[in-house]
Amino acid sequence: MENRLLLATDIIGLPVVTSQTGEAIAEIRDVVYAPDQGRVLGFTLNKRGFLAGRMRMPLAFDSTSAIGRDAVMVPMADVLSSDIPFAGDTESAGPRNVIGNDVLTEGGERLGTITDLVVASASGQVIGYKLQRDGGPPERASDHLLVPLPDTLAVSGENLVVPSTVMAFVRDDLVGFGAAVDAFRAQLERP
Amino acid sequence: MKYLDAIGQKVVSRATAETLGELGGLVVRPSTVAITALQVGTGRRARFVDWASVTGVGTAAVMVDDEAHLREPHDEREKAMANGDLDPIGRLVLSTAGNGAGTVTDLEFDELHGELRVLHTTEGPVDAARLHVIGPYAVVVDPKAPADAPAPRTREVG
Repeated sequence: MENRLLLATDIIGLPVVTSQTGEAIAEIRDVVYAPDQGRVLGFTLNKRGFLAGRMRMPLAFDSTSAIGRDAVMVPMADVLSSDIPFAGDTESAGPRNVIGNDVLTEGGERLGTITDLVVASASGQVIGYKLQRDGGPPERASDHLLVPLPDTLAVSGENLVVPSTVMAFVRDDLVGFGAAVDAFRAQLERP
Repeated sequence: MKYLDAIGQKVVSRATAETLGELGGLVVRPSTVAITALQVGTGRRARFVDWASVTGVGTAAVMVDDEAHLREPHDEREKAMANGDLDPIGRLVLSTAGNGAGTVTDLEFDELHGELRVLHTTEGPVDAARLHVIGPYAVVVDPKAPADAPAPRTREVG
Protein backbone atom coordinates (compact mmCIF):
# COMPACT_ATOMS: atom_id res chain seq x y z
CA MET A 1 0.00 0.00 0.00
CA GLU A 2 1.25 3.47 -0.87
CA ASN A 3 2.32 5.29 2.29
CA ARG A 4 1.69 9.01 2.62
CA LEU A 5 1.28 11.35 5.50
CA LEU A 6 -2.07 13.01 5.69
CA LEU A 7 -4.15 14.96 8.13
CA ALA A 8 -7.17 13.28 9.69
CA THR A 9 -9.37 16.17 8.59
CA ASP A 10 -8.35 15.51 4.97
CA ILE A 11 -9.86 12.02 5.25
CA ILE A 12 -13.21 13.25 6.53
CA GLY A 13 -15.67 13.56 3.68
CA LEU A 14 -13.82 11.22 1.32
CA PRO A 15 -15.98 8.63 -0.48
CA VAL A 16 -15.46 4.96 0.35
CA VAL A 17 -15.12 3.19 -3.02
CA THR A 18 -14.95 -0.52 -3.77
CA SER A 19 -12.25 -1.52 -6.22
CA GLN A 20 -14.36 -4.53 -7.19
CA THR A 21 -17.40 -2.60 -8.45
CA GLY A 22 -16.37 1.06 -8.64
CA GLU A 23 -19.27 2.04 -6.36
CA ALA A 24 -19.12 4.69 -3.68
CA ILE A 25 -20.75 2.92 -0.74
CA ALA A 26 -20.32 5.56 1.97
CA GLU A 27 -18.55 8.71 3.01
CA ILE A 28 -16.08 9.13 5.89
CA ARG A 29 -17.83 10.88 8.77
CA ASP A 30 -15.13 10.76 11.42
CA VAL A 31 -11.81 9.17 12.27
CA VAL A 32 -11.77 6.78 15.22
CA TYR A 33 -8.44 7.19 16.97
CA ALA A 34 -7.08 5.26 19.95
CA PRO A 35 -4.46 7.52 21.60
CA ASP A 36 -3.26 4.69 23.81
CA GLN A 37 -2.46 2.56 20.74
CA GLY A 38 -1.19 5.47 18.68
CA ARG A 39 -3.22 4.48 15.67
CA VAL A 40 -6.43 4.95 13.77
CA LEU A 41 -8.84 2.09 14.46
CA GLY A 42 -11.23 2.98 11.69
CA PHE A 43 -13.90 5.35 10.55
CA THR A 44 -17.51 6.16 11.20
CA LEU A 45 -19.49 6.65 8.03
CA ASN A 46 -22.25 8.66 6.47
CA LYS A 47 -24.56 7.50 3.73
CA ARG A 48 -24.16 9.25 0.43
CA GLY A 49 -26.70 11.17 -1.59
CA PHE A 50 -29.91 12.91 -0.71
CA LEU A 51 -30.65 10.60 2.20
CA ALA A 52 -27.20 11.16 3.69
CA GLY A 53 -27.14 10.34 7.36
CA ARG A 54 -25.08 8.35 9.74
CA MET A 55 -24.50 4.71 8.85
CA ARG A 56 -24.79 2.15 11.60
CA MET A 57 -21.78 0.14 10.46
CA PRO A 58 -18.28 1.57 10.71
CA LEU A 59 -15.23 0.70 8.65
CA ALA A 60 -12.17 -0.83 10.31
CA PHE A 61 -8.85 0.62 9.20
CA ASP A 62 -7.56 -2.91 8.56
CA SER A 63 -10.37 -3.43 6.03
CA THR A 64 -9.23 -0.60 3.81
CA SER A 65 -6.93 -1.27 0.88
CA ALA A 66 -5.75 2.34 0.42
CA ILE A 67 -6.36 5.85 1.61
CA GLY A 68 -5.74 8.25 -1.21
CA ARG A 69 -6.19 11.93 -1.98
CA ASP A 70 -9.64 11.37 -3.42
CA ALA A 71 -11.06 8.19 -1.91
CA VAL A 72 -10.75 5.51 0.74
CA MET A 73 -10.57 2.24 -1.17
CA VAL A 74 -11.98 -1.06 0.06
CA PRO A 75 -11.98 -4.38 -1.79
CA MET A 76 -15.74 -4.88 -1.62
CA ALA A 77 -18.85 -3.58 0.10
CA ASP A 78 -19.12 -6.38 2.64
CA VAL A 79 -16.12 -5.11 4.64
CA LEU A 80 -18.50 -2.78 6.47
CA SER A 81 -19.46 -4.61 9.62
CA SER A 82 -20.88 -3.98 13.06
CA ASP A 83 -18.71 -6.87 14.22
CA ILE A 84 -15.55 -4.81 14.83
CA PRO A 85 -14.09 -3.75 18.15
CA PHE A 86 -15.10 -0.10 18.21
CA ALA A 87 -18.49 -0.58 16.57
CA GLY A 88 -20.41 -0.06 19.77
CA ASP A 89 -18.34 2.86 20.97
CA THR A 90 -18.28 5.25 18.07
CA GLU A 91 -20.00 8.06 19.98
CA SER A 92 -17.14 8.44 22.38
CA ALA A 93 -14.29 7.59 20.03
CA GLY A 94 -12.71 9.83 17.45
CA PRO A 95 -10.16 12.56 17.14
CA ARG A 96 -12.33 14.93 19.13
CA ASN A 97 -10.97 13.09 22.18
CA VAL A 98 -7.67 14.84 21.68
CA ILE A 99 -8.64 17.82 19.52
CA GLY A 100 -8.41 20.84 21.77
CA ASN A 101 -6.03 19.18 24.22
CA ASP A 102 -3.02 21.14 25.40
CA VAL A 103 0.42 19.83 24.50
CA LEU A 104 3.00 20.24 27.26
CA THR A 105 6.65 19.36 27.29
CA GLU A 106 8.16 17.34 30.12
CA GLY A 107 9.80 20.60 31.15
CA GLY A 108 6.38 22.17 31.64
CA GLU A 109 6.34 24.38 28.53
CA ARG A 110 3.08 24.65 26.64
CA LEU A 111 3.46 24.20 22.87
CA GLY A 112 -0.12 24.78 21.79
CA THR A 113 -3.49 23.11 21.23
CA ILE A 114 -4.11 20.03 19.10
CA THR A 115 -6.11 20.78 15.94
CA ASP A 116 -5.46 17.69 13.84
CA LEU A 117 -3.73 14.30 13.61
CA VAL A 118 -0.93 13.34 11.22
CA VAL A 119 -1.66 9.81 9.97
CA ALA A 120 0.57 7.40 8.03
CA SER A 121 -1.85 6.16 5.39
CA ALA A 122 -0.45 2.63 5.04
CA SER A 123 -0.32 1.68 8.72
CA GLY A 124 -2.89 4.00 10.29
CA GLN A 125 -0.27 5.07 12.83
CA VAL A 126 -0.72 8.57 14.17
CA ILE A 127 2.82 9.87 14.06
CA GLY A 128 2.22 13.46 15.02
CA TYR A 129 -0.21 16.17 15.94
CA LYS A 130 -0.92 19.45 14.28
CA LEU A 131 -1.01 22.22 16.85
CA GLN A 132 -2.29 25.73 16.94
CA ARG A 133 0.61 27.63 18.40
CA ASP A 134 -0.45 29.75 21.33
CA GLY A 135 -1.28 33.36 20.66
CA GLY A 136 -1.66 33.31 16.86
CA PRO A 137 -4.68 33.56 14.60
CA PRO A 138 -5.69 30.14 13.19
CA GLU A 139 -5.63 31.27 9.55
CA ARG A 140 -1.89 31.94 9.52
CA ALA A 141 -0.04 28.77 8.47
CA SER A 142 3.07 29.81 10.36
CA ASP A 143 1.10 29.61 13.56
CA HIS A 144 0.64 25.88 13.09
CA LEU A 145 3.18 23.33 14.22
CA LEU A 146 3.56 19.66 13.40
CA VAL A 147 4.84 17.86 16.45
CA PRO A 148 6.25 14.31 16.19
CA LEU A 149 4.92 11.77 18.65
CA PRO A 150 7.01 9.15 20.41
CA ASP A 151 5.90 5.54 20.04
CA THR A 152 4.23 5.81 23.42
CA LEU A 153 3.19 8.93 25.24
CA ALA A 154 1.23 10.15 28.21
CA VAL A 155 -2.17 11.49 27.27
CA SER A 156 -5.06 12.41 29.53
CA GLY A 157 -8.44 13.92 28.79
CA GLU A 158 -6.94 17.38 28.53
CA ASN A 159 -3.16 17.24 28.21
CA LEU A 160 -0.54 15.51 26.14
CA VAL A 161 2.99 15.38 27.46
CA VAL A 162 5.92 15.10 25.05
CA PRO A 163 9.68 14.99 25.69
CA SER A 164 11.33 18.41 25.80
CA THR A 165 13.68 17.34 22.99
CA VAL A 166 10.75 17.33 20.57
CA MET A 167 11.29 21.00 19.74
CA ALA A 168 14.25 20.19 17.50
CA PHE A 169 11.97 18.04 15.32
CA VAL A 170 8.94 20.30 15.01
CA ARG A 171 7.98 21.20 11.41
CA ASP A 172 5.40 23.46 9.85
CA ASP A 173 4.41 21.29 6.87
CA LEU A 174 4.20 17.61 5.98
CA VAL A 175 7.22 17.68 3.64
CA GLY A 176 10.01 15.99 5.55
CA PHE A 177 7.84 15.43 8.59
CA GLY A 178 8.09 11.63 8.33
CA ALA A 179 11.90 11.86 8.50
CA ALA A 180 11.62 14.21 11.47
CA VAL A 181 9.45 11.66 13.28
CA ASP A 182 11.93 8.87 12.56
CA ALA A 183 14.83 11.01 13.77
CA PHE A 184 12.93 12.01 16.90
CA ARG A 185 12.07 8.42 17.76
CA ALA A 186 15.62 7.24 17.07
CA GLN A 187 16.92 9.92 19.37
CA LEU A 188 14.58 8.76 22.15
CA GLU A 189 15.84 5.20 21.84
CA ARG A 190 19.47 6.20 22.36
CA PRO A 191 20.72 5.45 25.87
CA MET B 1 -12.15 2.13 -32.95
CA LYS B 2 -13.21 4.96 -30.69
CA TYR B 3 -16.15 4.29 -28.38
CA LEU B 4 -17.81 7.59 -29.21
CA ASP B 5 -17.61 6.80 -32.94
CA ALA B 6 -19.28 3.44 -32.36
CA ILE B 7 -22.05 4.48 -29.98
CA GLY B 8 -25.25 5.24 -31.85
CA GLN B 9 -24.31 3.16 -34.88
CA LYS B 10 -27.14 1.03 -36.17
CA VAL B 11 -27.11 -2.64 -35.25
CA VAL B 12 -28.14 -4.81 -38.19
CA SER B 13 -29.09 -8.48 -38.45
CA ARG B 14 -26.94 -10.26 -40.99
CA ALA B 15 -29.68 -12.86 -41.48
CA THR B 16 -32.53 -10.44 -42.33
CA ALA B 17 -30.72 -7.13 -43.00
CA GLU B 18 -33.12 -5.49 -40.58
CA THR B 19 -31.97 -2.75 -38.26
CA LEU B 20 -32.41 -3.97 -34.70
CA GLY B 21 -31.55 -0.77 -32.88
CA GLU B 22 -28.62 1.45 -32.06
CA LEU B 23 -25.44 0.53 -30.23
CA GLY B 24 -25.88 1.70 -26.64
CA GLY B 25 -22.74 0.44 -24.94
CA LEU B 26 -20.02 -2.15 -24.50
CA VAL B 27 -20.16 -4.72 -21.72
CA VAL B 28 -16.65 -5.13 -20.35
CA ARG B 29 -16.03 -7.92 -17.90
CA PRO B 30 -14.58 -6.52 -14.63
CA SER B 31 -10.83 -7.05 -14.15
CA THR B 32 -10.37 -7.81 -17.85
CA VAL B 33 -10.27 -5.93 -21.11
CA ALA B 34 -12.68 -8.37 -22.76
CA ILE B 35 -15.85 -6.99 -24.33
CA THR B 36 -18.33 -9.73 -23.58
CA ALA B 37 -21.47 -8.24 -25.09
CA LEU B 38 -22.94 -5.18 -26.77
CA GLN B 39 -25.92 -3.20 -25.56
CA VAL B 40 -28.52 -2.48 -28.21
CA GLY B 41 -30.80 0.44 -27.39
CA THR B 42 -31.15 2.08 -24.01
CA GLY B 43 -33.52 2.11 -21.06
CA ARG B 44 -36.27 -0.44 -20.64
CA ARG B 45 -36.09 -1.52 -24.25
CA ALA B 46 -32.37 -2.23 -24.13
CA ARG B 47 -31.29 -5.67 -25.24
CA PHE B 48 -27.89 -7.32 -25.26
CA VAL B 49 -26.05 -9.50 -27.72
CA ASP B 50 -23.07 -11.61 -26.73
CA TRP B 51 -19.81 -10.81 -28.48
CA ALA B 52 -19.78 -14.30 -30.00
CA SER B 53 -22.83 -13.32 -32.06
CA VAL B 54 -21.27 -10.12 -33.37
CA THR B 55 -20.00 -10.69 -36.89
CA GLY B 56 -18.52 -7.27 -37.55
CA VAL B 57 -18.10 -3.76 -36.23
CA GLY B 58 -17.61 -1.40 -39.12
CA THR B 59 -17.74 2.30 -39.73
CA ALA B 60 -21.36 2.13 -40.89
CA ALA B 61 -22.96 -0.57 -38.78
CA VAL B 62 -22.58 -3.26 -36.18
CA MET B 63 -23.54 -6.61 -37.65
CA VAL B 64 -24.96 -9.43 -35.57
CA ASP B 65 -25.75 -12.85 -36.90
CA ASP B 66 -29.45 -13.03 -36.02
CA GLU B 67 -32.09 -11.07 -34.12
CA ALA B 68 -32.80 -14.23 -32.13
CA HIS B 69 -29.55 -13.69 -30.29
CA LEU B 70 -30.71 -10.44 -28.74
CA ARG B 71 -31.46 -11.09 -25.09
CA GLU B 72 -32.60 -9.37 -21.91
CA PRO B 73 -29.99 -8.07 -19.48
CA HIS B 74 -28.83 -11.10 -17.53
CA ASP B 75 -27.38 -9.49 -14.39
CA GLU B 76 -27.47 -6.34 -12.29
CA ARG B 77 -24.51 -4.93 -14.13
CA GLU B 78 -26.26 -5.11 -17.49
CA LYS B 79 -29.44 -3.65 -15.97
CA ALA B 80 -27.39 -0.75 -14.63
CA MET B 81 -25.85 -0.31 -18.07
CA ALA B 82 -29.28 -0.22 -19.69
CA ASN B 83 -30.25 2.54 -17.26
CA GLY B 84 -27.17 4.54 -18.23
CA ASP B 85 -25.57 4.17 -14.79
CA LEU B 86 -22.31 2.77 -16.17
CA ASP B 87 -21.67 5.10 -19.08
CA PRO B 88 -17.88 5.55 -18.88
CA ILE B 89 -17.78 8.98 -20.55
CA GLY B 90 -17.22 11.72 -18.00
CA ARG B 91 -16.68 9.18 -15.21
CA LEU B 92 -13.99 9.84 -12.59
CA VAL B 93 -10.84 7.73 -13.02
CA LEU B 94 -9.67 6.50 -9.63
CA SER B 95 -6.59 4.41 -8.93
CA THR B 96 -6.73 1.55 -6.46
CA ALA B 97 -4.53 3.81 -4.30
CA GLY B 98 -7.48 6.17 -3.98
CA ASN B 99 -6.07 8.95 -6.15
CA GLY B 100 -8.10 10.61 -8.88
CA ALA B 101 -6.65 10.74 -12.40
CA GLY B 102 -9.07 12.87 -14.40
CA THR B 103 -12.24 11.78 -16.15
CA VAL B 104 -12.85 9.50 -19.12
CA THR B 105 -13.20 11.28 -22.45
CA ASP B 106 -13.35 8.25 -24.74
CA LEU B 107 -12.40 4.59 -25.02
CA GLU B 108 -10.54 2.82 -27.77
CA PHE B 109 -11.27 -0.80 -28.51
CA ASP B 110 -10.14 -3.51 -30.87
CA GLU B 111 -13.25 -4.23 -32.90
CA LEU B 112 -11.81 -7.44 -34.34
CA HIS B 113 -10.92 -9.14 -31.06
CA GLY B 114 -13.42 -7.50 -28.74
CA GLU B 115 -10.93 -5.95 -26.35
CA LEU B 116 -10.53 -2.56 -24.80
CA ARG B 117 -7.17 -1.02 -25.62
CA VAL B 118 -7.02 2.47 -24.16
CA LEU B 119 -8.98 4.72 -21.84
CA HIS B 120 -8.61 8.31 -22.96
CA THR B 121 -8.85 10.67 -20.02
CA THR B 122 -8.49 14.36 -19.30
CA GLU B 123 -5.02 13.49 -17.94
CA GLY B 124 -3.87 11.42 -20.92
CA PRO B 125 -4.25 7.85 -22.19
CA VAL B 126 -4.43 4.90 -19.79
CA ASP B 127 -3.58 1.40 -20.95
CA ALA B 128 -6.74 -0.69 -20.60
CA ALA B 129 -4.63 -3.47 -19.04
CA ARG B 130 -4.76 -1.35 -15.86
CA LEU B 131 -8.56 -1.39 -15.79
CA HIS B 132 -10.31 -2.96 -12.79
CA VAL B 133 -13.87 -1.97 -13.38
CA ILE B 134 -16.12 0.64 -14.93
CA GLY B 135 -18.34 1.44 -11.96
CA PRO B 136 -21.22 3.78 -11.20
CA TYR B 137 -18.98 6.13 -9.20
CA ALA B 138 -15.59 5.66 -10.79
CA VAL B 139 -13.55 3.82 -13.35
CA VAL B 140 -11.03 2.03 -11.12
CA VAL B 141 -7.55 1.39 -12.50
CA ASP B 142 -4.24 0.14 -11.17
CA PRO B 143 -1.87 2.94 -10.18
CA LYS B 144 0.46 4.16 -12.87
CA ALA B 145 3.66 2.13 -12.95
CA PRO B 146 6.93 4.09 -12.63
CA ALA B 147 7.85 3.17 -16.17
CA ASP B 148 4.42 3.29 -17.76
CA ALA B 149 5.22 1.27 -20.83
CA PRO B 150 2.17 -0.41 -22.32
CA ALA B 151 2.09 -4.00 -21.16
CA PRO B 152 2.21 -6.74 -23.75
CA ARG B 153 -1.28 -8.01 -24.36
CA THR B 154 -1.64 -11.69 -23.61
CA ARG B 155 -5.22 -12.01 -22.42
CA GLU B 156 -7.68 -14.17 -24.28
CA VAL B 157 -11.13 -12.99 -25.26
CA GLY B 158 -14.04 -14.85 -23.75
